[in-house]
Amino acid sequence: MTEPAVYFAERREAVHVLRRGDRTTAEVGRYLGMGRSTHHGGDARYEYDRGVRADAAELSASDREHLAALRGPWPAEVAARDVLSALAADLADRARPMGWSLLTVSLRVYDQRIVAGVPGGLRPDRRRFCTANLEATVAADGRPLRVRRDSAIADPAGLPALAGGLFDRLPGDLAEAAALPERTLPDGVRPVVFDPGACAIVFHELCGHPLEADVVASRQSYLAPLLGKPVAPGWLTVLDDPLSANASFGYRVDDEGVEASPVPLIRDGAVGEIMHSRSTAAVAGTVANGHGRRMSYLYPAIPRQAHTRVLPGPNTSGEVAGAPGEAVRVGRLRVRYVHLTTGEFGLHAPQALLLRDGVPVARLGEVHLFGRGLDALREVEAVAADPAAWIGGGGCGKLNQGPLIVGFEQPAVRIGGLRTVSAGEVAG
Amino acid sequence: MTVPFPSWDAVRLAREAVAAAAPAADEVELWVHDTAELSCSLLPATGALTTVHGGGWGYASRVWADGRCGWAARAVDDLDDLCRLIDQAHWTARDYGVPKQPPPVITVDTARRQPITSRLFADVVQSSATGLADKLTAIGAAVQAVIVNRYQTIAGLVTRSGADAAEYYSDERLMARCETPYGAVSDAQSRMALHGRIDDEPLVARVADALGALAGPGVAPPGDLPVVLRPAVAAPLAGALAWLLSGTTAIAYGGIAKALGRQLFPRCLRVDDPGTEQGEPLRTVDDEGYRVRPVELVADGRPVALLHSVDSARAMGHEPNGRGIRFGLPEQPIGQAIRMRIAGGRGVMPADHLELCCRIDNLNTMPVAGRLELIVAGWIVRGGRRIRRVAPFELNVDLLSALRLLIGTGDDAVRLVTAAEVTLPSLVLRRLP
Repeated sequence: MTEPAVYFAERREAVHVLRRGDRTTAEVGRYLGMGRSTHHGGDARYEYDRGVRADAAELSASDREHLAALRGPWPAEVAARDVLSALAADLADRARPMGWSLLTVSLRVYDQRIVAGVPGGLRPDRRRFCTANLEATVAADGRPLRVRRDSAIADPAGLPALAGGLFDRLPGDLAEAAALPERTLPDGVRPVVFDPGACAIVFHELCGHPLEADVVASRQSYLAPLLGKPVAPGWLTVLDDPLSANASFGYRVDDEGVEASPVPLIRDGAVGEIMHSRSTAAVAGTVANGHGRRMSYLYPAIPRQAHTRVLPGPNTSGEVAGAPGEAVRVGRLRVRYVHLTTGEFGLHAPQALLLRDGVPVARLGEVHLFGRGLDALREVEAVAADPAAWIGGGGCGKLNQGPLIVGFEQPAVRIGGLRTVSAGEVAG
Repeated sequence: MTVPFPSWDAVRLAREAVAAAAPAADEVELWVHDTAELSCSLLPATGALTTVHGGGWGYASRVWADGRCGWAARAVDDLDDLCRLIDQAHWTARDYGVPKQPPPVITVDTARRQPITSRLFADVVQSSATGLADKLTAIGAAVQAVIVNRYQTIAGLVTRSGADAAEYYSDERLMARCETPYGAVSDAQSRMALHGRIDDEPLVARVADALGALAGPGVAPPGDLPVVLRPAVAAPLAGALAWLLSGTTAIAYGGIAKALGRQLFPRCLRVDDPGTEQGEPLRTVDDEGYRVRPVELVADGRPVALLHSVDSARAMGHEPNGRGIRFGLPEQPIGQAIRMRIAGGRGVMPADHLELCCRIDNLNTMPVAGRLELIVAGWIVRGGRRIRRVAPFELNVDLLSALRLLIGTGDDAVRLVTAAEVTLPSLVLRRLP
C-alpha cells in the first residue's frame, strides 16, 4: 500500500567560535533544502534538492505558508558570531590572572527551522542547540594537566551563563586534580560512578540503539527479545525524551512531522518500548512515536534517538559516590564499541579519578571500561535523586548518517562490577 | 521534485561572481562543488529498500586582504547571494582572519569538460544492493545493512588572479555491515577502474574470510610469532599512514617533518601517490588549482616527501604538489593523498605466523593522533596452513611503533575504501606490537 508523501524542509545555521590562547577563529554554515519521500510497504524513495519550493499541487495553502517562511532573510549570523567571540574573549580575560598555561574555549550555536509532514498537514518546528567546551591546562609535576568541561543548552540566551558556570568550576577542578597523585589502574572489577550529564551516553548506547526499530527488525538487538521483562532495578527508568524541559536538542515534531513523545527505554526496571519512524511503524503495524530523524535534508528519516534521560533515583549524590572501598569516577566518556547482538561494550574515560570510600584519592588519566549490557543494567546500584544538574550533548553516528545531534540528561549514577583498567594496561 | 544533474552552470556562476565581486582584497577564490547522488540501502532482515536521489551545490570562498585570510562556505540562491558569500569571507578576513599571505598566482585553465551523459538509474543501484546482500547471505553472513552509493561531481576553482579549473568525476561504492556474536564486520568496495561496473566479489571474499575466523572457538594470540595483517585488518594503519604523510599533519605534530630523508621505517616500506588509477589521471588539479603530479612519499623506509596544500607547503618551505584537497564545503584544503599505494612483494613472508584477517567494528580506529585501536581475530598459521583460530582481541598500537616492526609486504595489494582508498598489501610485522 502506498502511503502519503512525507515532506521535509529545513533552514539551518551553525556558528562555531574557537578561541585557543589569544587566537580566535569563527565559522558560519548555512543550509537550505528540502526532500520528499514516498513509501510503499517497507520500501521508500526519497528525493531531495537544494532550496525550498512550495509549488507542488498536493500542498495546501497552509503548507505553502510554512515552507515560504523558511525562505525569509537569514538571521544575523554575523551578530551571533560576534556575541560568541566576545564571550570567548571575556572568559580568556578572566583566565589571565589564573596562571593557566592555556585556555581553549569552543562555543557553538546551531539553529534549525524545519517544516515536515504529509501534504495538508505540514508542521513547523524550531530546534536550537548550543554547546560550550572549555579546557584549561596547567603544569603539574612538569607535565601538562588538562581539565575539560562540556555542557549543552537549547537557548542561546543561556549560553553565557552556561559557559560562565563551566568556567567557575575549572579552578576548583584543576586544584583538586593537581593535588591528587597520578597512578595507573590495574585490571580489575570495580564500581564506576558516572557524573551527571553527558555520561547518559552509556544508556544511549546500551538501551537506546538496541531499541531503534530498524535495529530491532534486523533481529540483532540483544534487548528486543526482552521487551517488557525486568533487566534492571525496579526504580530505574530511562527515557528517550525530545520533549524534556532540559533537552539540549529537543523538538515538538520529528523530521517526518510526527508529534514528539517520550519513549521509555527502561521503565521501572523492565525493557520499555521501540522507537519508530513512520516507515518502520507502518511495517510493524503500530503508530510512529516521533523518532524519525535525519542528519539533514540530504538524508531520509530513520529511527533515531533524541535525548537520553535517566530519571532521578532513590539515592543522594553522596550515596552514589560514596560506595565503600574502591571505585572509579568518570566525567566524560567516549564509546569505543558496542556490539548490538550481545550488548558487549568498551568505553574510554579520559579524566577518571580513583575514589576510596567516596573520596578522590588519585588521578587515573585514561581508563577503559568493559562490560555487557545486561550485566551493567542489572548492576545499576544507585541513581541520585537530585535533578540533573548538568546536561550534555553530542553527535551520534548510525550507518551512513552521522553525527546527528543528540542530548543527554542524568543524575549521578553508579554501576557495579565493571571491568576497569588504565588505557595503557589493557591486556586483551 | 526535479533533481538536477551536476552542472557546469555552477562553475559559470562562480566566474561571474568573482568578476562582479568587488572587495578590496589581494585575492578572491571561489571553490564550487556540485554533486548528484543516487543511493540505496537495503535491510535484508525485512527486505526494506530505501532509494535516495538528490543533488546539491555549494560554494566556499576565501578572501585574502591586508595579510589575513577569511573564509565562508554554504549553498547560495543566485549570483547576488554568491557575491554576498564573497563579502562574508571578506568580513571574516577583516574581523577574524588568520594571518596568511595569498597563494602564488596560478593561471591554470584545465577544465576537463567531459560531457555528462551517464544517468543515475535507481534499478541499477537496487540490483547492486540486493545482489550483494544475496551473496553475503549465501556465505552465512547475518547482513544488517547494505548501502550502494553512486555519485557524479563537478568541482571547480575560480580566482580573481586567473585560475579557472573544473573537473567532472564519478564513483560508486558498496558498503555492507554484518553482525556476529563478537560484534559487526563491515567492509566496503569502490569501483576499481575509472569506468565500468563495480565488482563486489572481492568484498564478499574478504567478509567470508573474516567470518571464517569467527566461526569456531579460538585461542589467545601467541606472542612469539610474526604477524600478518591482511589488507582488511591493516586498512586503518594505511589510512593512518596517509594521515601521517600529510604536510598538514606534519605542521600540527612536527615529528614526520624532522624525519624527512631519514631511515624512519624498515627498508621494505615503499609508498607513493601517483594520482592515477590504472594509468589514467584521476584529477588534473587539486582543490587549490595546483597540478596533480606523482609523489614518491617513502623510499625504502625513508620519508622523502609529504602531501601538501598550499599552506602546508609554504609553512615547510616545500613546493606544492597538487594535494590540497577539501573534505567538504566548510573545510579548508589540507594535504591529502589522491590514490596512495603501499608497495607489495617486499621483505619476507614467513611460513609460520599469526594471520589477522578479521577486523570487528569499533567506533573510532584512531581516537588519538597516531594511536590505533582495533579489534581483530584470525589464525595461527604453520607451514603456510591455517591450523587454529585466534579469538577476537584488542590490538591497540602506536602507528610509528607498529610500522617499525614491518618486515615484509604481501603480493595481495588491493585498494580499500576502509583504508581511505589506499592500495595496500598484507603487512608483515616481526611480532605483535
